[in-house]
Amino acid sequence: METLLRAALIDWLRADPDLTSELNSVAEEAPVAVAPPWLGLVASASTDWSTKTRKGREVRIALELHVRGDDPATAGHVIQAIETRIEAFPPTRPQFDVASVTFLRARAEQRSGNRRAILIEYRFRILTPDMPEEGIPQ
Amino acid sequence: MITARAASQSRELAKLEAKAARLAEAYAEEKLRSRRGDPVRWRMPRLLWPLMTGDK
Repeated sequence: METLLRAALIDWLRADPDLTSELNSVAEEAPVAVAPPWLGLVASASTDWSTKTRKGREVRIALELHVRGDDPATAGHVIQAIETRIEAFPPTRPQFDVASVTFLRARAEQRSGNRRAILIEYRFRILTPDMPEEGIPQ
Repeated sequence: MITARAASQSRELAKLEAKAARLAEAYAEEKLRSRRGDPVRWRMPRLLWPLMTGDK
């Protein structure tokens, strides 16, 4: 389920015209040969979050944004666009339902080469799709 | 250094000790990598969420 969520989230972010116009790449993992600005889904981990009737996972996701410039406000609007897009992640998908999406924390630091890196972490709680109950015999 | 000694070695206490050790190890490694300016530290689940990733 973690892998499905990662793929769905990347597709969802790539489908946002505001983000694609701002970023050179939205990638799974940190891209090696792409000039900033880029966004990568750089880490994830999951634990069981099942209920009595449905399998579930709590998935932590870390997204890393790289931009150029030493002004902390440089990436402000991009971060806002990313957060808005993630908050709008559709709760129902063919492979899973999203019970909640929660922002956990973010951090930023200046890197060499006039780059600024920002890490954003989210928690997703997802469940297998709600299956209709077996038909009751007539 | 602050130390503590428990009177009984219950399973819960052992679990708690293991969690504390995992947190401490992750914290120390994160600090070390941070001093070296290693960007990979943001891409390692065991450093980001030490209690979620078990012994992996």
